[in-house]
Amino acid sequence: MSFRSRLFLAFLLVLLVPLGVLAFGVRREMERRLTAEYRERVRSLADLVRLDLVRESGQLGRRLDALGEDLADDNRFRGAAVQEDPGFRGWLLDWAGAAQRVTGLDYLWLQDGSGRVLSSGHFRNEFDRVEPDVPRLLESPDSLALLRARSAERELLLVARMDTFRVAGRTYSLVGGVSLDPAVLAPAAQARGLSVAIELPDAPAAATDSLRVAGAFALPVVDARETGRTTAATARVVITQSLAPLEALRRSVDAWFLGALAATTGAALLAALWLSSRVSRPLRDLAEKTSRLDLDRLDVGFGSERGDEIGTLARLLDAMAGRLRLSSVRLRDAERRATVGDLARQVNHDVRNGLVPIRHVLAHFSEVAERDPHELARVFTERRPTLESSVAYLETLARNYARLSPPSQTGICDVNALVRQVAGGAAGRTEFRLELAEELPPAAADPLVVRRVLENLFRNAVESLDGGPAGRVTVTTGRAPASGQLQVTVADTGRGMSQAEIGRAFDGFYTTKPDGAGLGLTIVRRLVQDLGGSLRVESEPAVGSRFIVELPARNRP
Amino acid sequence: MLRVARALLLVAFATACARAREPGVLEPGPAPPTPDPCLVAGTPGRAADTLDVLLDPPPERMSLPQSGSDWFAAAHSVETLVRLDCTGAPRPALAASWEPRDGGRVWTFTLRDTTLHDGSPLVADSIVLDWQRPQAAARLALADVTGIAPAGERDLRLTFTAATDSAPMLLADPVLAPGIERPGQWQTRPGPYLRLIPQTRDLRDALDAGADIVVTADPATLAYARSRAELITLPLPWGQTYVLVSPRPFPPARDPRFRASLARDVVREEARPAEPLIWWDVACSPTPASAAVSPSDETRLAFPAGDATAAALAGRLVALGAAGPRGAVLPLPPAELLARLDRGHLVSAVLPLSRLDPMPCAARSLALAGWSVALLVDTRAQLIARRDGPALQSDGFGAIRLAPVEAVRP
Repeated sequence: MSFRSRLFLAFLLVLLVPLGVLAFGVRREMERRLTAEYRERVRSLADLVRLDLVRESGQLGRRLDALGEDLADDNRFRGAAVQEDPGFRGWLLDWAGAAQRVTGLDYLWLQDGSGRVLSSGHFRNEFDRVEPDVPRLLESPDSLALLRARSAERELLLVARMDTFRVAGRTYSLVGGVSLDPAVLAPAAQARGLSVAIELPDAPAAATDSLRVAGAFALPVVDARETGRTTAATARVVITQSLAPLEALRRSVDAWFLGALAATTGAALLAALWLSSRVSRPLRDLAEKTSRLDLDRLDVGFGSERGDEIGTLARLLDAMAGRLRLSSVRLRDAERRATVGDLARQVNHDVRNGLVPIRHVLAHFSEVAERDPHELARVFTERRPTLESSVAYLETLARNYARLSPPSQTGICDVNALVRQVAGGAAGRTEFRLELAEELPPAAADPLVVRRVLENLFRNAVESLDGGPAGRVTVTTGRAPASGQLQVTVADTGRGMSQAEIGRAFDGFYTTKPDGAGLGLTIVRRLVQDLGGSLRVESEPAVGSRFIVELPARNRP
Repeated sequence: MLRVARALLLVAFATACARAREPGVLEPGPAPPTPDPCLVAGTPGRAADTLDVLLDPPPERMSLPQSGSDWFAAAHSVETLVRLDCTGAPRPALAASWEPRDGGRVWTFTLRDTTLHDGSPLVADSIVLDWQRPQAAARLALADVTGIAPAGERDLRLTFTAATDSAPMLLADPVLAPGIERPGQWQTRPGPYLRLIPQTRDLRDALDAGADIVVTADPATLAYARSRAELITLPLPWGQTYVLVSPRPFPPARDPRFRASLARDVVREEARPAEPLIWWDVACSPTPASAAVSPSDETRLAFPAGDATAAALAGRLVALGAAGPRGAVLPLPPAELLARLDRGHLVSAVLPLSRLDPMPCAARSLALAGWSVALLVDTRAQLIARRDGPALQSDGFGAIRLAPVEAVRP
């Protein structure tokens, strides 16, 4: 997982956890408080509805009382009900309808003592129906009861009340009612999500879902819908508070939370991008510079002006590179000393080896001179080749070791000119392709040393071609892209080297050529390092090798 | 119009012809020695150009009169050449006089010198032209009329195959009323023009505003009219019979006392226990139920919305359990009610039938549907007129009509 992804997840986690806790807390607290308020509303509305019903029942009672008094005083009623005068029968049948309209009732029955309906206001032609139980059951202790009845068109649900009056020693009852419309009971509550419903005994109970807060109270109900089958039961007035407003609020909070979540995610992403760019880019730079760090390339700078940990790391790496450079110098010095020691031992060994035949010849000469002097000339002639070969060996050895002597002078060297000059002398039958950069600054090096380097590399390249006619040596000059130093590349199309050969290419006295001394590339590397440059090789078997020399450039004033 | 002609003809001949005087030569306008027995209201000889008339409810079916309004409108849309009075005797109408010749084989009718309300002059040529209508021609052919010809500008000559004395009664047939099939005009007769007053919420307001004639069955309006000395109420013929149609018989409806209680206690309009017409026994006999009968809801008793009498009867029947213990009434627009009835999808219903309809049950598929048809009550409207208004006559079958001014004897 990338550093950027980790940063993003970290930001997301840091922001989302408190945000989620906040949203959860807000929702829970909101639900708790609103539900409590809703319960209080329902309770208050239940009290209000009950008071409304009690007040309605009281008004009903007063209206029925007034109707009874008027009826008792009306001679037409006396004629119709007591005397059963047919002339007043029509009036009596119409009386309840007219009285119902005048008093604003929705239901009115006038019944005699046997329960026979003398006049019906809500159902004019219901006369002569006998229902003695209706007034009896409506004698509720608290005078508040519901009545289920029917008109010609529909069934009715009413708040009903009963009253009686006496005429000519007979008792008559008046049953009056007003329609009970739950929607009218608490009109102000409708807009606030409250509703009032009547649950009747034979009606299925309303489903109590989680989206409502409900309260209820019971009322007696008289069912007189069917003739001769009047019954009493209990109904419930149910007040419910819809939780739709709470749900809407929840949805709103959720929407805001989702919006905040989206904004947080975006902010986390942006912050991760910004922070990762601030952190990972310098780290990548440090990593890239570190990857370039090598014993031959210790000139990489890690300097930084940053005051944070990355700056500290950069400075530490820079200090480390400085220490590496110092150590490299010391290492080179130690290596040089070790090499001189080895060389001395080698020279000692080689000289001693070269002197051994000479010593043997000289001992032989001494022995002959003492034992048979006149044989000395013959023996000398006989052993002279041995002496000459030993001397030649020593001369060769001396010449070879002479090549290891380091130059000590510095100067200005036109590398392009020197390449052309050396290549002209080394070409022979080999094709040399020169790709020289224009306006190449001079190298800060001794031209003689550079010449020795080039001669060795060119000869090495020519020899790697094994004299094949198709071989080609390409010499390229230019500036190294990374360091800015002068760069001379000598590439051949020779046999190339394996990785193992590359690893030992710069070791002294290691050669793959039958007549080589194994000191050429060692000397070249030493010379280049002495000039303050570097040498590296890239090679592939059967394809060729590329020797890359980088030399410090001398900038023109 | 053809149906009203047939109906009126049927009723007229069933009643008036039975009272026809002895056969012989009928002299036009013989002055009766006593006041006109057919004069029921108004002042004889008083004429007016226009009369304000309120018909409640507005007339709908003049072709088959059912309500009092239909009766009145049908009786005053056209005028015949001859009228039959309350005794069944022919009286001059558009024809001022008539005279038989050739022993009664040729009759000459002299038309009044007047114009119809559409502006056309009343001349013999126009009568001859009008009687070329198929219905009129058929009626004349049925009466053995062999020739019709103008005998002058206002003289019309009818020739019969044989001598007859019923030519004036023939011309009392509304089918032969000039302009009876003229579309777009509801009055083509001469005489006062009847201007219909728009319906008012309270009909008494129209009376107080001076309406000349009001036809209604509204109890309050009739009671008010009876309380006013300047007004007179005249019963119109029993126009409709209310019946209960239901998939099953309703036994109480067979009891005359039950029908009497309906008429007395339930219907507020003038009503009487239903008296079936003789031909209804056949016309409304139930037949085996067809598969089309599929009442959708037997707990509903339908009635035509707006019909107070039907509503009251339906309510009473519901109260007595005709639609089940928890039944209810179902008011339906009349057209929808009839449509449901015809489709056999109707619940039980209380319906008004026209007593002039010779086939009331067949007309509404009741008999074909195999349902029970129980007669309940008959109702009729009344005509309220001013005592000093234009003369009103009762005709041969009980209808009240404006008397032709020229024909009314002082």
